[in-house]
Amino acid sequence: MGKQNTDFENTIISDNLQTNIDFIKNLFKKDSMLRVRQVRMNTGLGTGVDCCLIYFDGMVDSKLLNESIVFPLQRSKIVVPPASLIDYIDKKVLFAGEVKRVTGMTDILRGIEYGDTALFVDGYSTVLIIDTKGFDTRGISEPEDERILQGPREGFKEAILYNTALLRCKLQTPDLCIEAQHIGRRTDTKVFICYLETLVEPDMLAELKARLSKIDIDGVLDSNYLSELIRDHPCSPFKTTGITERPDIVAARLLEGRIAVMVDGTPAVLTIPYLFVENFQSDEDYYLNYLVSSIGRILRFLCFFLAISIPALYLSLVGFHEELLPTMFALSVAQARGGVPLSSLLECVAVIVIFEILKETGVRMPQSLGHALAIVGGLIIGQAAVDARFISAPVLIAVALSGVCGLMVPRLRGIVFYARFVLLFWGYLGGLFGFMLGISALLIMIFGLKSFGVDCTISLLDPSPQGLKDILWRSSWRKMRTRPAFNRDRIRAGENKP
Amino acid sequence: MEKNYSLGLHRICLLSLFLFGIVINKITDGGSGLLWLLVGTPGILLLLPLILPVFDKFYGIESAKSVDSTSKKTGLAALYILTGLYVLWTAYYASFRYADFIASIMIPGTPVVWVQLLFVLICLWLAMKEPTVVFKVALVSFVAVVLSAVLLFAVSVPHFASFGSLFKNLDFGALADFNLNNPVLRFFLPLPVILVFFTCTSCGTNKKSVYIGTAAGALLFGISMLQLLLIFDEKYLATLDYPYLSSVSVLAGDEVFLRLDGLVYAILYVCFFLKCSVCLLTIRLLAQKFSRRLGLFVTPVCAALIVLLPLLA
Amino acid sequence: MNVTKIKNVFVMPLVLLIFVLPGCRNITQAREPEQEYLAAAMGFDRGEDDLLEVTLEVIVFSVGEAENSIESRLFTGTGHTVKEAVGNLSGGVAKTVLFSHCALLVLGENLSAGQVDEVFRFCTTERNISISTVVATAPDAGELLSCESISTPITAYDITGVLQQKRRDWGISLANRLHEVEAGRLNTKSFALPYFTVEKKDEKNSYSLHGVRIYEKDLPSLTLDLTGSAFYSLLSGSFKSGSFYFEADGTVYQPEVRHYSSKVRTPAGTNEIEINIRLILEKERYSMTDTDALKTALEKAADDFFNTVTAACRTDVFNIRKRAGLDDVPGEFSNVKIRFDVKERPG
Repeated sequence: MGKQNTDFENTIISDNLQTNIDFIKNLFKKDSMLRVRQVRMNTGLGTGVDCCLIYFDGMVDSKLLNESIVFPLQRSKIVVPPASLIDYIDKKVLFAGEVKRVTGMTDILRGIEYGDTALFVDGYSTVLIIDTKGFDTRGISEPEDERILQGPREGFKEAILYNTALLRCKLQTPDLCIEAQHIGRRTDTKVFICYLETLVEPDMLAELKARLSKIDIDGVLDSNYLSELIRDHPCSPFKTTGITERPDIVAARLLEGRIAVMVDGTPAVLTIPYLFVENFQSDEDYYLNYLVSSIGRILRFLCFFLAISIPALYLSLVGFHEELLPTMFALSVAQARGGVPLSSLLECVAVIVIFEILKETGVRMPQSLGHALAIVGGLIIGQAAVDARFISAPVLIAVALSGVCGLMVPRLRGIVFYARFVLLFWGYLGGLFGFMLGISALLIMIFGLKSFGVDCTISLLDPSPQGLKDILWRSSWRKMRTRPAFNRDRIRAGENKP
Repeated sequence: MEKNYSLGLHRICLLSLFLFGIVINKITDGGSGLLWLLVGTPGILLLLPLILPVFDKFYGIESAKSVDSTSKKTGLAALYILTGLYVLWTAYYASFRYADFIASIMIPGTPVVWVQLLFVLICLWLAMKEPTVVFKVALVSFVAVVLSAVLLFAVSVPHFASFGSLFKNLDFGALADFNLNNPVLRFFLPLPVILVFFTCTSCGTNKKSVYIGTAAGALLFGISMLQLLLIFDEKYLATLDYPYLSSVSVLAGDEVFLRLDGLVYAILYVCFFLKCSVCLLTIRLLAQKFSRRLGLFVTPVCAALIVLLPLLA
Repeated sequence: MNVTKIKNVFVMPLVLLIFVLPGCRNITQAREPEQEYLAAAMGFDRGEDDLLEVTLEVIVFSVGEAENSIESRLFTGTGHTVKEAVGNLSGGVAKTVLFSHCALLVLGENLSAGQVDEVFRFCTTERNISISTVVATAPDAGELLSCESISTPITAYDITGVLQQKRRDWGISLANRLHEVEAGRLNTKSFALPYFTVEKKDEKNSYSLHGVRIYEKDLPSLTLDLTGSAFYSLLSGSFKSGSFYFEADGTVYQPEVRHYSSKVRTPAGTNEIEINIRLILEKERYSMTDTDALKTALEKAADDFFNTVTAACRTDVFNIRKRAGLDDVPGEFSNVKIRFDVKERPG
């Protein structure tokens, strides 16, 4: 199982300084980054008290350590009775923003493993954990996957404490609650649960905490670990937890009564519950004029349907229902397919696979090669394949159109990939009947989704005018006066008449 | 965090689609059928206030365990079994009729039993979900079906014969002839099934939604029948196996040669999918009044029976 | 019982069962579009030994060429039934023939009643033939389909185009779609089809629309020229709009009809039938004084035409009884009056 911080919950801290030093050194005997700095505080009468600072090199701010802790400790004189020494050091000697008094080894280990410094004082079993974090973090930048044209461009970082600061800047209210947990046997990763107390559903919060407490895993390095471990419908390709790297999005979701889960070491923050319609929302929907963003919203719905349907519809019409096609179109298709050695199904599958390969390569490769890839992939492979009669132009057009439509809904790229193939096979094998069976199956899966007790398509259960004003299109902020239906406090805005 | 939604609009959508599925049938008595629909629909709406409380009383019981006496329990069980058989028959007829349509029109060459099996499996899947999923499917589908039906009617208008010829040929004397083949009877026969379903899903029979849903279903069917009677001669209409589909063929033959049969396929699929699923779900809900496990067991067995019945018969 | 296991038990058969649908079983057979012929027209004649001779005009295309690579080819087959004849098509039919895009059906004039019945039986049971397919007639259907087309590569589309043009020019709008013909056969045992004739010019066949041929009990009984066809449309209620010419008392008239409506009624207490036809004419062609003369001439010409046709035919070819709502009323109606109401379109 390995050593975990929690293994030492029952370890008693000795009041003998050397015993404590030996214990910690022994625990980290193979870690050459551990530093033990002994300091003596003088009484001014020729006697003194021995102290020891324990920290990890590279994680602390050396300047802060030297100027605010070592120097004051060395220069100060002890003028209080022994019983008040810890209190004296805490309040009068140290120049630090945060000082915690702990009596458990687990808290000490957690502190020094995260950049704090532990101050042991000879003769005392209370240890002071001083905030001296100074490890390097990445600067605030806009998330790559969530770029917008207009609006805030901040993104979360890996360090969780900075993330909470970004969030608190957006939600300046005492209603904001941030509860800490540690998950992961070896990583002991900090996980913060953030919510607005008066908006959150207590049952949902309790359910989340229960699921998090049941997690038993070696390490949590990203929020997706948690997402897969706590989600409803573990085998479903549909997401039931939201994920974002933008503080404004997290703040907006908290204002709708959702809960955010921050994980240390990753900028991706989970939000729950996750409604299905969020797959079609863009981050800047609420920053652009509602008429403009409504067009985008409607297009995304349409594109999702086209992305999964076009190849299947093409195959089913051409293979089973030629009478539905205009005569000239049917002839064009037949003419285009003349001489192609593969069946329509294999053609489609081959072109889809090639398209996915090109897409994936475009994501991974260096940007400077991106143009070359576009030329090679699009022009040469596509055009040459058609000229050589390996594939037919209608199939290429159908798959390309479907692929481009799929790019409009990046949050659904996984489901688009699977659904496209499944519908393709059903359409080829069963015509429009098979296609409709596939669509029904998809609808059953979507409508049956739940996210922490909340129906993911809850707006369909309560199709009131307010409920539908942010689904297919986005209404003006003047009209969006209520929160989503799972909230206990629905009203979020006043009349706001012009 | 379960909230009770009224689902009134959903019931309207589901009920109207449930009734509209009959549009697949052969129309052998077009003119009198339309008359009967015009007369029979208000009649049924007037009878509903008497019928609905009966359904609430017998099917609104949450669990059979709450019934005190053994004789009442036995009576209830007998009633539910009879109801279940009627629902089963409705599901069988709907799925077989539709599978026959698919096997002869859409994918000829496929044995009906395989089509029926696949179709019933999908319906069973939906029936094993919560009732709210069915309501959502109905809500979304209703919009598509209504738009399609209205579009088909509108596009058929240039092909209509004069209204005068329709009214001249309506036989009002047929109103005196009420038998088992009466079109109103055939149209409203599945109505008790959906009323049982509504009663079994927590909220009881929402009267307003039942009235509106019944009227909406009759209106949809009436529009379609009008379309058929105005395009086709009545005698010829009686020879068509799937007249609604055939009426759409009439819209073809222009320079564009665009056929709208796909809309009819979608309309029929939705109506029968919901019908069969609701029937299976009703069976499950009735069985669950005795025991949850019974519901999980009985429903797949009934689905299997639906598919096997044509083979055994 | 584990609910998840139960669900999996149902999902797996669902996935596997999709393979029993025909697409999978026929995966090596011709279901690709380039492996099927689209039939544009079907012609039916009486062949040797009283067999049914079916001529198919199919659309073929050349692979690899961009434009003008679509043309038609004729295949002929004989048999006792249409299905047998289609199965015996000559000329190397290597592909399946699809009838879903068939735009035209042509009946040869020498078909027997039984053969005509067989043709319609096939067309109504063959699910892919649209019920709005146009039906026409010619002395020799195969010869008609072999004619050189004028404006499109496919003769069938050419012919249907000519019919539409004549509808505009002559107002000859017949109930000659497949479902209308079938309805006529069921009700009055009669129907009318456009009649094409074929001429040979410079070793090439060319066709022209002669008029209308009336069928009674599946046999041709009367042929009308274009003027007669126009009167037939006027009296049978299918006229739309268009111009036609006729002579009366040595004067040639060519009314251009903008709007047409027709009502058939029986005045109460009589056994007469009145056919009231209302025409609204284009003002530029006629002044008010001409309208009265036209009305009188029309009534006389229509009367003569009606009497000629009803004398030659045994059935209610104008479908008057049904239009008057007298379908179920026994007895004969001897006196049919035709009244015209002619007006000019307001300027």
